[in-house]
Amino acid sequence: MDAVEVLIRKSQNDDLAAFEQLVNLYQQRVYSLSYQLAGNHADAQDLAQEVFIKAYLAIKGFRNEADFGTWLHRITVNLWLNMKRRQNLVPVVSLDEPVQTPEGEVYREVAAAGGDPEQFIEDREFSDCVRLALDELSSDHKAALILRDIEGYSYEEMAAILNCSLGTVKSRLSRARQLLRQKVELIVQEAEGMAGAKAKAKAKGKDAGTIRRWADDRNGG
Amino acid sequence: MNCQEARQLFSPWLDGELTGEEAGALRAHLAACRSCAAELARLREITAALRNLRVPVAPPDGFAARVTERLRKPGLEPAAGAAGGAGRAAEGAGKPAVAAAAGKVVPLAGRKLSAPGSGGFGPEAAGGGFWFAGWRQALRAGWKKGVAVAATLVLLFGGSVTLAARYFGWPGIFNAPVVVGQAPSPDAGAGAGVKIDQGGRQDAQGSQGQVEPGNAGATVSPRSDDQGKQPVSEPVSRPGEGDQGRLLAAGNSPGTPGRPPEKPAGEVNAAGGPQAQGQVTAGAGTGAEPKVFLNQPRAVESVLIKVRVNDLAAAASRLAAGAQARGITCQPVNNDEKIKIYRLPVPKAQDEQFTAYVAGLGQVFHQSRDIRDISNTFAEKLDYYQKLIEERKTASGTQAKKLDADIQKVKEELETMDREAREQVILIVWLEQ
Repeated sequence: MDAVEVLIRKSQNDDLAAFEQLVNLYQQRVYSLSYQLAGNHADAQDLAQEVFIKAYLAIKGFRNEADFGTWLHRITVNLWLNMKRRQNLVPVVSLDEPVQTPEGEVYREVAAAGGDPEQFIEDREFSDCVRLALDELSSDHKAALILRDIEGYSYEEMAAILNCSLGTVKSRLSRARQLLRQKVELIVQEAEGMAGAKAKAKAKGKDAGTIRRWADDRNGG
Repeated sequence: MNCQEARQLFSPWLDGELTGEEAGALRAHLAACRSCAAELARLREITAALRNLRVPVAPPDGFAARVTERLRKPGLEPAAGAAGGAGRAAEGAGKPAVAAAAGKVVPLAGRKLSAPGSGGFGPEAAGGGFWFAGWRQALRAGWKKGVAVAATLVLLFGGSVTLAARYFGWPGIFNAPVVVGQAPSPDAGAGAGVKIDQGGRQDAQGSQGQVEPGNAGATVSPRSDDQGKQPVSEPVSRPGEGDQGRLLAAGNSPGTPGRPPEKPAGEVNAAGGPQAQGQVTAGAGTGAEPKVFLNQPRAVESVLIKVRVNDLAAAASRLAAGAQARGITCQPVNNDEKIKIYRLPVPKAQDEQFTAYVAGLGQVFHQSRDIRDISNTFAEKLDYYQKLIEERKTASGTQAKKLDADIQKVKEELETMDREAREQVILIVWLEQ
């Protein structure tokens, strides 16, 4: 029995100190996925905290057949999907607060003060387009892509985490990629459409070439 | 191998999950088909970009201690965890938020996800990029009018964050920020007799400080449905009486007001189905679960009309009066001195006539029509609704109450969506001085 198993066993017997150690061991993994799903630190924190609360309450049912981290990720995804489904608030944020994105903080003032959303979008890099597109997908599709391409899970692991069949994993991924590709194209198109030819020349950043190429492909074909 | 077959292999190919034989066949096809090769190249680019989105992040210091601290608190029931974060509002998780236009700080209760009743989930909330496609051009024109107005439009469209994500660079995540302006202050003349019928707008008001941490998780906002006359609190307060069944038909079956609520859900469904204007159906599809609404294609039609007026207050009053005369709810969704925006659910029969009336308020400088397919959104919500009903069957105590509230809320959302798709045109009126 390894250390983790011991801690799990103790936690199953209501040993909170042992559970805290488990949290310490796995918080990075849970937080990382939470962050990808939630998209910002504040919500990632809340989600991750809920995950461990739920994990503790459910830990008696945990069998050591599964990897504990994967089990936690399963809780993470399911909690998040549930939250998404229950989502019903219009959240409010401050105009003065920086907005978190995985790429870093974006001050809305950047967009607002500039007063030129076209420029703003034009300058976005390709990966930003992909992130935007990802966030536009349905929760199920988004979760599938994050688990596969960002977290690197295998189809089998995904099936366990998402509690669905292998076939569903495959088809969901395939569909998600299709949709993602369409959305990326739309976003790129929009960026391109707004920016026009002038922007092509001005496009900056390491991915600007990709955006240009996509746009050119479209115009040409 | 034809293109369709080839494209089905793209995804597993990206994952390295093709057999040697499949991969060979795919390669052969790609060599001969430029279009498929280009398509796959794009998918590769996206997948590569996606894989690069991984960023090293760490939870804040003391995270584990906070978790166990919460676990030590008495009164933590399994239900709290199972409720998907419902407990957080009570924990004081509401973060300070500043209403955009007002610049004042309001605690945003249960901002996360799970608080029923304070919902901004209008049918428009779940749309996608599609919804905005037709609007973008029009909306962009308003950009320089100021952030408050732009933000209001985000609010107008509920929880959809497409616009925000595009224009502000926000991540479109589950609590994607939506800026809420000041509490809408109805014009003189508009305020008194006009009801709010949209969760989104109601929530916009609630966010101005009326919603407090701790109460968000348990209540259903009282509101008057413009069709259903039933007080929402009634079914909520009757757990364990097969009230789901009653909920199913309530509000949609004006012809069956006296139907006793005591039947089990399934029976009521069966009975209520044909009566409720064809919306309620008994066990269609899966057979095992109660179904409420037909899972049919639905689309919401909307009209955006921008009118330049000489006197904004006067025009707003006339709009409100005209709406009221036709029984249309009318409430501004923003509070801006130069521009007022309204979202009005207009019965289809009155669409043209009322649009003409609105156009008569001043000079129309933009008008466009859009149709948004909400079939998927509706189907998802319906699934969720059925799931709640299933959960309710085995629930008791506070959990049952909470589920009842959820069920009621989701039901209302379904009804609103259904009504808007079948009977209404959503008129978005932009009055500008």
